[in-house]
This record gives sequence, C-alpha cells and structure tokens, in this order.
Amino acid sequence: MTKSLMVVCGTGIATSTIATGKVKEYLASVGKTDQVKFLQSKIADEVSAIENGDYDIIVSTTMVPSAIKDKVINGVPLLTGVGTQKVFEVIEAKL
Amino acid sequence: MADNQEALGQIADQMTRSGAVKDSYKSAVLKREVDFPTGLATVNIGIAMPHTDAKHVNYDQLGVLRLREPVSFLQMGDGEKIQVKFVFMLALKEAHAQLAMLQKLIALIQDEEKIKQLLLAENTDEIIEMLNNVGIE
Repeated sequence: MTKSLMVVCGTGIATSTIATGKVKEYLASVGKTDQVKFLQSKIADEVSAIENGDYDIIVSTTMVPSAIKDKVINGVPLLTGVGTQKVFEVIEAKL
Repeated sequence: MADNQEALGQIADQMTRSGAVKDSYKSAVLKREVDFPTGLATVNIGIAMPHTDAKHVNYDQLGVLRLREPVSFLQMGDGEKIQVKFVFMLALKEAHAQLAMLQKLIALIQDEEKIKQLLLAENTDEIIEMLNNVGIE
C-alpha cells in the first residue's frame, strides 16, 4: 500500500524541497519510490492534520509543537549530512 | 557584527537595493529567523540559510555573507545554538522551485574542501566564481 510522506518546514518553500529531494533519491536507490506519495507543506498549515494522523510518515526540517513531536522525524540531518543514513532508515522502517 | 539579526539585515538591505526582493522582505526574513531558525551545523562549518515567503520576492537571488567573526544562530529543527560563518540568504519567487540550486548549495556546505576554499577566498569575485563553478548562479 502507498504511504503518504509529508515533509514540512517553516515556509514550505526551501528546506522541505531539499529534504524531499534527498528522500526521493534514497528511496529510488532502494527501489521503493512507488511505495510513497510525497507531500510538502509548511508546519503552520499542518499541525492539526498531523495531530489527526492524516499522514503515515512526517519529516520536519523545523521545530514542531511538542504535542506532535513524537509523530515527527527530524529531517535536519538530510541538510547537514550529519546522520543522514539514520533518517533514511527510520523512514524506510515505516513503509 | 553584533548578532544574527544585524547580519541578516545587512544582506537583506543589499538584496532590496538590487531589486531582487521587496521592501517587505527584510522584516519578514528577520521575523522568520526568530520563529523558524535556519542555522545548520555541518561537520565542517556552521551556516545559515534564511528565507521567507515568496510574496516578498521579485526574482530569485542568492545573497552570500561571509562573517569575519562567527555569529550565533539557532539551528533548524532542534533550536541549538551554533556558530555561523557563512550566511546564504535565499530569495525564492516560487515554492518548491530551484531544487537543483538548493541541492548544489547543500552539497557545497557538506564539502570540506570547497568550504575551505570559500573561507580563504580573498574577495567577492573569487567567492562568486567558486559558487559558479559548482553550478550555483
């Protein structure tokens, strides 16, 4: 079944674009791109949807309200290159 | 420079003068940095990648600032305090556009050798040339 993967950042304009690109590249390399439906947005628009459990996997490159913290994967390593592999593994485990 | 708001203000002013961003950009990008910090600590260096909504932008531009003395920023995601040496301010006219440029920028900040060269560059022309050489224009 296809899983929805929401990538959020502060503006929904720059870093979520980079993070989405990184995740797509990785999933393509393991042949799993078609298992995921990619979505992108800004955190302010998504808090309630995340709370409601509208998405299967959520990656954020920005700070998220503590109420939804447990549901969100920190995507900053995708930008810094420090700990990138770990993020990929956590995402892949949710597929 | 006293703090990151001063550093950001300086590049934003420059980008306003160049016409790439509207007068509203500066206050928007300064506020955005407070609400959603953009510092990133790579293995090599601390950088920041401030940006704000497309409505404040006239056309795409990358503003680059190398700081003589590092300035404190908060890191994206976890809010930890980091020391920043380079600021790459993004003016993006469209959401989700410029993926290629952003990816090159991210690759650049993760490249120890290139970062060293950027830190050693003696003038703005050299920095622009190095950025152009990795496909950032």
